Amino acid sequence: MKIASSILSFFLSIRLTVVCLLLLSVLIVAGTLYQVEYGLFLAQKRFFDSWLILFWGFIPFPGTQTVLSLLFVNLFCNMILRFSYGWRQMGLVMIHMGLMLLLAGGWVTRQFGQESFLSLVEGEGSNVASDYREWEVAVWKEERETVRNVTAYDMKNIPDGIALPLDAWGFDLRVDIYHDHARAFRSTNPDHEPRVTNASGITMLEESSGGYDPQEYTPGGVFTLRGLSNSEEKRLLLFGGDLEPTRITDDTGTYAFSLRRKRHELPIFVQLLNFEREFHPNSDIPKSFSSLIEVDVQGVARQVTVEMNKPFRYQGYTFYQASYADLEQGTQLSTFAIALNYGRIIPYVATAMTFLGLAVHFLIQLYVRKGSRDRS
Amino acid sequence: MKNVCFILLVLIGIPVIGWAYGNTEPTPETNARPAPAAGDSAGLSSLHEFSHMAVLHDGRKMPMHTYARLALIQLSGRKSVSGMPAEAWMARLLFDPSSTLDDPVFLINHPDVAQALRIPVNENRRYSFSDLHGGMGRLRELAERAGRMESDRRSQVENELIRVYRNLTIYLDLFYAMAFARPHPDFSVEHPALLDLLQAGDEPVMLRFYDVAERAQTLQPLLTGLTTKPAETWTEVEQAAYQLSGALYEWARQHQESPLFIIPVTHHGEESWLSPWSVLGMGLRDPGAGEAVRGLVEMNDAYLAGMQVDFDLAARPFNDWVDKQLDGDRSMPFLDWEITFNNLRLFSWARFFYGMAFLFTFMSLINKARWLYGASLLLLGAAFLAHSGGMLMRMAIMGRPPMTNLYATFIFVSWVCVLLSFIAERFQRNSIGILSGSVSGFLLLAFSQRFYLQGDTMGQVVAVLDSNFWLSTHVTTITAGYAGCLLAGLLGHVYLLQGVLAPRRAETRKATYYAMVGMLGFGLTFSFLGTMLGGVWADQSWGRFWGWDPKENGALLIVLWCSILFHARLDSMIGDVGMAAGCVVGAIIVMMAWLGVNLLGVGLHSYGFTSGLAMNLFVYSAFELLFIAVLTPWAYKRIQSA
Repeated sequence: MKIASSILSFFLSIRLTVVCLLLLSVLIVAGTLYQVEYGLFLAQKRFFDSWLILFWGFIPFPGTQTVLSLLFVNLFCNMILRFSYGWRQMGLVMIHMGLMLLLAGGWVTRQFGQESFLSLVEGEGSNVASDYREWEVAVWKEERETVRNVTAYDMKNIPDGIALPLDAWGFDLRVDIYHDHARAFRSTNPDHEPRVTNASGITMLEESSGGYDPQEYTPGGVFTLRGLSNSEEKRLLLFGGDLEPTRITDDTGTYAFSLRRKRHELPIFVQLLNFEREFHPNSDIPKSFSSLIEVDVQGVARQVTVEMNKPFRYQGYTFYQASYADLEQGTQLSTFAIALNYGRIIPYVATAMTFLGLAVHFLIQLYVRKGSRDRS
Repeated sequence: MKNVCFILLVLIGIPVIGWAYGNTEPTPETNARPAPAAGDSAGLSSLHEFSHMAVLHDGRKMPMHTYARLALIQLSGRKSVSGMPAEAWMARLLFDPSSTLDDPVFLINHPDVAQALRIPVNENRRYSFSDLHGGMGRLRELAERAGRMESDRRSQVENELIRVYRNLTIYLDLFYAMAFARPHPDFSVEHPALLDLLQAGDEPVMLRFYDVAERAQTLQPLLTGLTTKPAETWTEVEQAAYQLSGALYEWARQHQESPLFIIPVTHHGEESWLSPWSVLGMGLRDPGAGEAVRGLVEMNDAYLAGMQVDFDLAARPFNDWVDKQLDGDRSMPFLDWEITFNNLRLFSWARFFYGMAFLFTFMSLINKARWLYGASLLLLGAAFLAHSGGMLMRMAIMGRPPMTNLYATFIFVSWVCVLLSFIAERFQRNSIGILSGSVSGFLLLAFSQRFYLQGDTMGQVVAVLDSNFWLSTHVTTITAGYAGCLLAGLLGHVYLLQGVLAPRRAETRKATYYAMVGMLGFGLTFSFLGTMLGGVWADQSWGRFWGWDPKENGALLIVLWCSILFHARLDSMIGDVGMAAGCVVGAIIVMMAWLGVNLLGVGLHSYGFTSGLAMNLFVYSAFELLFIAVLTPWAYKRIQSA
């Protein structure tokens, strides 16, 4: 009972709040400075998404997730046991409820959020978005059908030596070597007989060490295809930079193998009708970028303009104008960032609640102080 | 003793404020006569029409008055040269460029650059084109070598070489921007047949590029057969026509990149601005633009002849034509406003009045005369009025909320500081509000000058910032939060000083404490709202509420620090003195979040990098930390023993 009481008073302590806020401040300063050298992704991974950090490799320090969790519990305990719910405390209650909601919203986004992108050339359409950082091995049989049956395996944390079953066609694909970030080479010797099959003529892979953000990585791997109809084993080299899938033919048909960014199916079909960009006269200062898209929702097509600060939303998905590129043929390619976030509305509500709480609290304080001054 | 202090303050304070007022802005005289120089034109008594000409610079339409200032600031770091206002100097540079050769307009900050160019080092760091002329080849060579280096590997001297060379290029571009309007030996015509063709009279004459370009068609029959005819069989008139057309081609080629965009045209519904050289290069095909170039030639003639009426008669139709071309354009009516804004110098007046208000408040704290209090309040009001006027005029000219760049945030934050100080003074009536308002207004406006001297403060915003709604919500609230925390920091200084100097005056100190905590509360509320609205904007623009961007982190740090102080005070981990010291630390955090993160050069908010800022921030932080380290224990001890 005594231990439980000590634990409770620990979690109720305002000193814990102060210490957590101080720790959070230290983490933020360290994470911000870390970004200068190592970029946002690694800073986020090391400081803001972590539970424990080792400074200089040996000094343990709680990570942001630990500190935020402690703060959440601290807040929760105080809300339940310390706060009185009279009108004088109304502001404080609102502030802290808002903050709890904010922390909860952050957790929901972290757990269930999904970010992807969709690049379309003018006239092109798709209902499949690509992941920024994750890749997959996709296999399909080349047929003249309009609908293609694709089997894909997520390559995140895949161990070497594992066999990926492709039961639909009766064979499997064993992962021999896989690098998250690889460099590819072609053999310079024309007489050299390649030991691997690759659509781009790549014969060798090497693990690459450059870059801090997996968004810029190009993976590659060597796979063994087993169980073909002619009982032959084929070694395939798949590289993220391949423009075409690698094709293998046996008696049953031709199969395509591709190492590509992980696909996310969208609930709508999006077609890019036109992309427009505008600059301030005689300058390269961008004024606006906008894409006119046609979205097909359950057979009903409608046109929508997506531009800076004006995204298009549909069923939890939001499409943002992210970037563009000029293509050689005079056409343009527009890229949309697509976010799926079920907790999107939570920070909005939390912000409003906390701000109102702060305003109410300080106004009450002013009123109370003025009242006591008038009385004296 | 009090009277001695009083007199000393007056004697020291007024010249200091006078210096601060006059230090950065010379008296602009739009109607000033250009200073005569060797071979100078007669000049004009009024440059009204010239100042009102519209120029497109970095995507923004501005009056020539502003363009001239920006160009001169870019070159010399000043808005005048030898007492001559920028627009008068610009008129000379365009219409009579050789008269500017000896003007000391090239700022060279590093003496090593002057030495490298083998020119005598000048103490005021400003050199004329004549000074630099001999070292131009060497400057070009050194600047190109420095330009090939990685930017972060360059030394100060190498950066300075690049800057000076770029400035020299700007000067030369402007030097030749109107060269088509002046006679030149390259266009001398002596052959009677050619004179006849060009309708240039009977006597040999030196023509202008413009004259020949306008009548270039008449040379065509002479030139048509020359490509198939051996050169030795050319007649004299053919040779002369060939030379003339060669000079025409060479001049057009050399000046095709001229940066003076003053002729607006519309092609396929899209607005574009041309330089006079571009119009000439296109063979004066657009009749309106051709007429505009003719107007410029007439202006140049009138300027060189010192004929005011002729100049105005040429300039006014030119300006009217430009107005007509841009009928319905939002920014055109505001060009006049901008000149008025430039001439009124409202922020200089505000700075001056803030300084005076500070002086009078200080005097009123020593000598309790009622009139001093009234005068300081009045002066603060006058400063606030000028400050508000300047800010509103900027908003009207730009058609945007008051914050679009770092300079503008200084203007706005100082304005909010003064507004909050008025509110504090309204509650307490003990001069603390006037003191904090005048100090914050004066210091922040004075500091904003360093950004002002770095270029156009009303420049276009990039696409992602092009949202008046978010600029006016997120940026307004976050900067209001900065203001609250900075004022709390300022009052923290006052509290600690009161603790040391007057430890027995608990009542006065308590009043300061309440004002300080009130400001901190305001700072926390608005920093929180601003930070979260930033998240909302990011969610609307990029699809993520929070991304740990350095600017977001900086703003969050302010919120966290304010929360730490309130919670620590609540739990008696710190007392009033600790709270005051914490507020001073809070001001350092605000400066780091506001300016420091721009120095990191990463993230979505890494705009407005300013050289030398790191050192200023370091000195400021070191000073503040020393202040806290010395005054906090001292004030604590004095209060305890009182």
